[in-house]
Amino acid sequence: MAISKEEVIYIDNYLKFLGVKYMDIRLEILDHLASEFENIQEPTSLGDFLRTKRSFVKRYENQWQKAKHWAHQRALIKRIIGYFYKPNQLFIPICIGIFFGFNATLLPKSLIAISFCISLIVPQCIHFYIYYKPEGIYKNIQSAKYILSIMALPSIFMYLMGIMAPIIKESPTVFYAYWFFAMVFNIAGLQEVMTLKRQIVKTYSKLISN
Amino acid sequence: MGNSKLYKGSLNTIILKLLDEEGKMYGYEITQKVKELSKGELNITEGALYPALHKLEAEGLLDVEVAKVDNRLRKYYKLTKQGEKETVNRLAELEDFIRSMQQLVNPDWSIQ
Repeated sequence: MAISKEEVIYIDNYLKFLGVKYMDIRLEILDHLASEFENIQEPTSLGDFLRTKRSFVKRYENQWQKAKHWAHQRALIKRIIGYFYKPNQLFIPICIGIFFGFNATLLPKSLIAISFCISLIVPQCIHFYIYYKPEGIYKNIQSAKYILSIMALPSIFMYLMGIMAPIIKESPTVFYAYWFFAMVFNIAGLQEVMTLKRQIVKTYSKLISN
Repeated sequence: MGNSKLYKGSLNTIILKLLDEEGKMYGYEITQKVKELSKGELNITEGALYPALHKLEAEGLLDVEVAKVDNRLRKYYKLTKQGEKETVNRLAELEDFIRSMQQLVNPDWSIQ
């Protein structure tokens, strides 16, 4: 027997009570619990049934987050590798090379330092804006957190800046290599963010409209 | 089944095989289908199923689809192109493993 609308709302409220605040996670747990409850043969109250599922609900959120985090980091690495062999993406490392050439030949050292800092900071700012903008739908969607996690890897270049500074100053080769990879990671990160943003909007517009 | 450790390593392959046959399935449906096919011998708990589904999704082998069913939304899992290829490989690996185990445990009745 199909579960009623009131029972669906009851399960949803119970999940909120247990602290499952993201709607995409609630959707999956709710569907599983509703399907299982519909198939119980003996008469059981919904409240009693849900109490037996508490530990499953608690565990669920953590393991989901972990799996997704590494999936997106892997996708980021895959995208970066693609820049060096996919014909339609080769223009990215080439453009970075031209940009470096412009910096090295035309700009004074002080402006190169500014150019370097801006190229590292701006992509990070864009992705933070995407997630935290006030009218964004992402606050209620767990998957949107991955938008942040994707950029964790490119952020490493910013964290390393202090440690790398003496070596970077000594050797222009190390400096440009460091800058090159920082830019490649940042561009790939932003591309991943945009792709995921589109997917999230598409999938969860359905959820929000219900 | 008495010892769930014996099938734990094959859970992902079981899921891939089912999705290959059925096209798309939702979580609870997978647990019930396994129970039905194994005549109640295998019981996949939700605690084992969803981590496996999420792992396969993370590896790019599964895709998800959200559909409205009765009074709620349902999340269906289906194989990606990569998932279809991987299913063939993993089934072959599993068959090899079963064959080797048969030869070890009972050489007289190994699978042909």
